[in-house]
Amino acid sequence: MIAYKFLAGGRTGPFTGYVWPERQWVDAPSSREGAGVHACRIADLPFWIDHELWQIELAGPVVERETQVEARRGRLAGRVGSWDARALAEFAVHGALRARDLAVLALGDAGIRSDALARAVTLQETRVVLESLPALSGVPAEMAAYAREACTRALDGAAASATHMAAVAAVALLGPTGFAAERSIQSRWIAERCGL
Amino acid sequence: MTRRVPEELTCAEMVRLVTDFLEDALSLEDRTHFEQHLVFCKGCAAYVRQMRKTIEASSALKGEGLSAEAQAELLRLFKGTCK
Amino acid sequence: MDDLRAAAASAEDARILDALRAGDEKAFLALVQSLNGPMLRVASLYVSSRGVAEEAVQEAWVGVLSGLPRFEGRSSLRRWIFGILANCAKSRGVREARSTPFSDMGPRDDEDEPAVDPSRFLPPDHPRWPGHWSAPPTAWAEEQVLNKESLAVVEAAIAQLPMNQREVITLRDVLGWNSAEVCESLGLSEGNQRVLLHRARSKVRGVLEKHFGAGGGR
Repeated sequence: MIAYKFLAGGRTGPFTGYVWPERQWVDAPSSREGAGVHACRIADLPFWIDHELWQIELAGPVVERETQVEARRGRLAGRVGSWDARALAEFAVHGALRARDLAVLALGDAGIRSDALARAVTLQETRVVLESLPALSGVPAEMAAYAREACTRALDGAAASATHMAAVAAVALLGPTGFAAERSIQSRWIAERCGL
Repeated sequence: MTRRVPEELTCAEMVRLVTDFLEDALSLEDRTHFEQHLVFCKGCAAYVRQMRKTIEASSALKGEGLSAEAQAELLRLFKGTCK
Repeated sequence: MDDLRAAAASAEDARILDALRAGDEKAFLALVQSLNGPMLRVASLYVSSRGVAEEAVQEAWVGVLSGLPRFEGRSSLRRWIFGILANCAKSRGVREARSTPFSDMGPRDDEDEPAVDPSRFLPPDHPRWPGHWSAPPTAWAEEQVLNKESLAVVEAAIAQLPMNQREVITLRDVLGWNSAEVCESLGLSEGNQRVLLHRARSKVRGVLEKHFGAGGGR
């Protein structure tokens, strides 16, 4: 099976600190469930954002779980070069602007016009508009707050945080299914951006 | 108000679970949620890193050994025992 | 892997035991030198002064040498030696305690003290982020964690811990024993050991955080 794996800089496993060799098979350190080689299907990518994205070949029995797959062996097949610092920054902006879009929907539902918010292009501009909205309450207030927070995170370059906020904001507006729906939009964004 | 995504861990829960995480004592499900939280939360990532550094600092503590006289005394004792 | 390590350790024990029984002074000195730092640290858990700790270590070695002919290797050599040491140190500690006010024996265990001040998290009724950080920790200047001043802070923080937490963090983190060894030595369940380790590490981290926050770091 071919899957994907996010690694920190220098091919480093984000939780184990393990430095992955390129193109060599690596066996799981133990056969215990959970101790195998973890990787992502495309739909899983938004949950595991990091600096490097690799294609990984998996072998042995592969267990598929909710947000990851696990195999007995894996081999980094090649780096996805289009996932770089710029892609990461763009993904952050994507998250923040999606949170903004959801806020625009919430405001519309409440009968509040927000053309300036819908038209804002940059994060700074979006944040300024969000801060100048009239006093809100209830869902619109929360949605505007999520959008503002997501802009702040994205401006800090925290892509995983900004996009997570968008997914949580989707729950506030759309109910429990919003989370998976937003993660799915994000995974399609990554796949398209990187040509996966 | 309850949390938006019930299966996610809060930061307060992360702090309670950090030793179980470092000791590899979490269930697979909890471990996955713990790791996902670390991906999006800078504060918890810093917290876990600080715990790792704290452990490293403890392991770097050096104790003094026995004095030279005490060691010489032990060696005399050893020679005596082995006669 | 653990089995391999255990086998290697017992082969090493057998080699050392043979040497000791053959009266090999070099082997004895090497053993003393490798263990006396950790032994002093363990003895210091139970007695109040460095002098008394040294006496306990000396007494333990006397016990080790006299027990050597009868040692059957049912536990590791190290476990056996530290078992003798703990007995020597604890009985000296008890003798000390009879002539020392109780308050000098360190704080009691504090079951409910949170690892992090609850005011650093948003309240449970926060509309968006209940239980998330309101005052998140900020990254440390890591090259400073291992400097002399920080290590002195860590040493002092460990000394302030309640006895059972101090025992666990000393054996696990300072001396690097694994959890099975620590559970066996202290007669704790895995879960209980982890709870004590968690409280101890959390408190030492908190003290370090204060230290860095007060201008010790960055």
